[in-house]
Amino acid sequence: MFKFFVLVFACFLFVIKMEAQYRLQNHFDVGKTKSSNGFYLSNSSYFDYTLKNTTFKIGARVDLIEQTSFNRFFSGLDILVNQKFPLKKMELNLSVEYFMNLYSQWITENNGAILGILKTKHFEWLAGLHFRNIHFNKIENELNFNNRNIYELWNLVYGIKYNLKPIDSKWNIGIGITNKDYFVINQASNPMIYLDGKYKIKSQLTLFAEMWLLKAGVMNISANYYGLFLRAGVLWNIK
Amino acid sequence: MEHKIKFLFLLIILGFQGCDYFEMRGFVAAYETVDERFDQSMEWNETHPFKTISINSEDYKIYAMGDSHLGTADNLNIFFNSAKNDQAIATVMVGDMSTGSVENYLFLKQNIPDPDSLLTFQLVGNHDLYFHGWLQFYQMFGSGIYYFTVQTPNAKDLYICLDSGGGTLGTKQFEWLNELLQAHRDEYRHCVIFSHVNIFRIRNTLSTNPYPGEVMALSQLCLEYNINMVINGHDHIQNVVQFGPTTFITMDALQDGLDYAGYTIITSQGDSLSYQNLNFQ
Repeated sequence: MFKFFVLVFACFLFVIKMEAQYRLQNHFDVGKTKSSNGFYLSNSSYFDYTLKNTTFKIGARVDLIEQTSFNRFFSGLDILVNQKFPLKKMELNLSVEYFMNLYSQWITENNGAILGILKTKHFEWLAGLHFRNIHFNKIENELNFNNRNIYELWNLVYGIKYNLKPIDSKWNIGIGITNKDYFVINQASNPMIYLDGKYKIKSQLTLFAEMWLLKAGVMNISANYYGLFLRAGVLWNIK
Repeated sequence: MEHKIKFLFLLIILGFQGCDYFEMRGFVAAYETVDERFDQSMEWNETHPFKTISINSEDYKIYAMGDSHLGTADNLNIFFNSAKNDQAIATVMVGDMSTGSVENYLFLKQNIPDPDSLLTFQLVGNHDLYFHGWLQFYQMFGSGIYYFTVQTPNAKDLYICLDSGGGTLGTKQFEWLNELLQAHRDEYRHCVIFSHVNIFRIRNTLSTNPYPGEVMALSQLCLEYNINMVINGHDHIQNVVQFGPTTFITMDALQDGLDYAGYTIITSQGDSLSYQNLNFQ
């Protein structure tokens, strides 16, 4: 009986190994916002493991240049599970995501989101719900307060992106508007506009670049400019 | 069908253009950057020193209101009269006092009490910037970024007024605030910050909050420098949250015609600082 289970388990591992896909993504962000106190430079890495239509994704961010008083290096962790549902001429993805931002030794931001992404030939639509908690970390012998948490009510996540060419093309240029990016989901009233481009240099290797424009609230009449950042990265389909 | 939609869209835009309360340029973006307003405010501050209110008692009251959106000024006048009757030492108007137009600012000015009868401090809200309203604000009230202090026989309290009308404090203002607190917070007993846009998004609303990065930076500052209260308007609906040492108060709008219109009284009694949110009905 034991041998049978070992055999089944070995077959299972073999099947997993045969069917699984791995992907690595690394990108740099450089930019400046009204609260960044000058330029910042950060690097984010993601590892994806896909089995059939299910993807497990984990990512981390480090700040290489950071000029606020936050004084941080490791600044974010992102975990996501995605289920793909191939449909006729389109693809539906449902995700559950958790990410945290370590703003400083005192403040941590926890985020949870349920997301749906619909991809058609040229368009990508995003809709979802987001929950945010801001937490004062407990530090021994200092700053001990009773009220350590702020919980925001659910927040709408949305996005729409248009790609010039069909999504799987060798190269593409797109323009979109959304309140979600890596490691951040803005309040629904703070959408960001972005332009992006990608180029598949090999079948497994894709380079991409993005430019994001941030305005301090579109619903806020007489809004001021908030920031801009550029992103460049590489996507490697290992297998 | 497509032509009909385009025609309808054009008609709506033209309709809005004809409306006295709509101005496309100001709707899309503020006329000046928040850093430009900061520079002008600092220029004003150089020739107009920050006010110190000296009183003979340890106890005092400051009245605060926001979002009167004149219009009519019935609630505003009730507010000022209540402050006078209660012998408040000052009132703070945290923005969206007007709709931004010249006529509206003139009407606002007419309704503000003489400084000899009641001291008033004004802040900029997003609607005050509409129709290039900053020009009117600067001409009538001067700086939008400053502080005032209250000197009692035994203590000094610090009240900081900020410009978040454009949805962000901006780099220069944030640096100024940081430096002010770093250099002087220790000299004061209580510290209260007034600005227009509410910091946290505790309820679902169309009104805008600062970007998460700015929310975190402000939260950190409030924690680091033991800020007692942050008082905002903008969202129109009252909300109070305690986060660390700081009470974040979003006030009800004071606008006429709202059944929930209200304001806030800040009371310093002995060594304690408290607040009370009041409604007209």
